[in-house]
Order: sequence, then structure tokens, then C-alpha cells
Amino acid sequence: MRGGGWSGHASTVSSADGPKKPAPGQSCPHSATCPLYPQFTMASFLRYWRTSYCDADFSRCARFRLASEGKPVPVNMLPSGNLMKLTPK
Amino acid sequence: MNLEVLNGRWPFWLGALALAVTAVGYAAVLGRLLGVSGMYERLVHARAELAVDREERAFRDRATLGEALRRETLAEMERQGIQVPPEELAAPVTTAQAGPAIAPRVPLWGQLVFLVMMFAGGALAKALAGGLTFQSQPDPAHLQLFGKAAPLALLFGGVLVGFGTRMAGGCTSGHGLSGCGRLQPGSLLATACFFGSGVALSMVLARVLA
Repeated sequence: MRGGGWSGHASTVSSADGPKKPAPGQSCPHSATCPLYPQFTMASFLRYWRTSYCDADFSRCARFRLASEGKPVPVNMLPSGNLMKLTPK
Repeated sequence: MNLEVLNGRWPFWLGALALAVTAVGYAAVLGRLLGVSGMYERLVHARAELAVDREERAFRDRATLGEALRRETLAEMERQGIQVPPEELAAPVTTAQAGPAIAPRVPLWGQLVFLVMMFAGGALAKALAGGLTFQSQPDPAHLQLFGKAAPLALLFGGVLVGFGTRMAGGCTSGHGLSGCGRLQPGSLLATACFFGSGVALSMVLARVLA
């Protein structure tokens, strides 16, 4: 878990090459503490993130990768690595 | 002022009670688990952490977050060539769609206060017991083991502790108090390793120093 500082108990461990690829059917171990994860159910098209990252290959999620490296994860960072802007470009 | 109970080593139950109140109180008040090494880590990344705090404040409004998320998701889906039904494109962002509010992180300054108070609490306990002294020289046992290199050995030991706790994802507070309190297998194992290796090394050193 991040936030309190303690990174918790991710079942997917980091290596020199980055986080290991998750086993099929394995959901992201950070989903319980990720502030964006609950947001991804509130509209049907937002489930795109869960089906593409959280419940699929979360090892390619930019948020997961940063957290696995022990670095702070910007709240506005999407799993794709893009940063949400407050106002349209 | 001299409190008899604070003289010498504290009774185990008093120490346990103080740690339990701290760990449970921290979680109850802040909604986060206590982890001291993680606090140090945040201080090391203070600049990035402050930037994240600023972003978080901006996105704390549910409607703002919902609107930004909607806009960026649709853009991402378009980049990926995924068709979005027109009714979803036209749908306004409602409070229900905005989702739950993001739970605020513990502010960096709050964790800095905790770390300072940790030292202050230790100093206060010792002062109340009447034995607070400041020592600039390493302990005689350290000097016996490492000679003039004792300060460097202490520094190296500190680096090893920092490296190990980050590698293990927590320290004696994060794993030992917060994790073991929640019966997390990883924390139980990590704590067994911390204390097991500590006891083993103490026994070796006791023989060496004897």
C-alpha cells in the first residue's frame, strides 16, 4: 500500500527488467489502494481501463510500474502513462 | 520529575501498549497504515511527493476528476481505434459517474511531524526518567568491533537497513505492526526474518565481544 508509505504486499515482484508479467486471470494487487481503480466502474466506457490493464496485463500499467519502483504515483496518471489535464487541450 | 516506571528498560506491556495505540490510532485517524521507512522514502522523494500532493488537491473535486477521466478515456480509446457508442460520447458527467472521491494522502508535512515527534518522544521518555544525555562518540562495543571506523560502520549499517526495508516493502513498523496486526503472510515472514536475524547476530556478537 502506498500513501501511508508502506508499499504493502504485491504478489507480483519487481525485477531488474521491471515487474513480472501477471498470471492469467490475476488482478492488479494494487487495486485495493489505487485511487483511480474505483473510478473505472462508474461509467461503462471507463471499464476500458480495467479490461485493458487492471484485470488483464497490469504489469504494463504505468501506475503499477511506478508504485513497484517505490516512486510516488501522480493521482492524475492513467494506466497508459498519460497525465489527465484539468482543462481540455 | 522522575517516573519510576520509565527508569531503565520499559516493561514490555507498556511498550506494546504505546506501539498499539500509535499504530491503531494512525490507521483510525488517517485511514492509512503506519510505516516509518515509507515516510523516510517520501522525504527522499520530497519534491516529487509535493508535486503529487498539488495534483491531488486539484483532482479532489469529484466532478472535475470525472470530467477529466471521461475526456482522457475517450481520447485514449480513439487512439486505440475503439469505437465508443455515440450516446456515451454525448452523455454529460453526473455526480454518479464522477465516482467516489479520492481519499487524501497523508500530507508530507504531517509525516515529517510524525518522524520528528518519534525522536522527541524517545528523548522525552528518557528525560522523564532522568537520564537524557547526548553522546557524540560511538558506543564502546562499536569501537571494540570496528575501531576508528566505527562511525563509518554505523553509517554503512544505516544504509543497509534502508536498502533492506525498501527491498522488503516495509520495516518493523510497516510489516511488524501494521502487517502482522492484519495477519498478512508476507509481513509475518518479513518480521520473522528481521527479528530472527537480529537475535542470531546479537548472539554472535555477544560471543565475539566476550
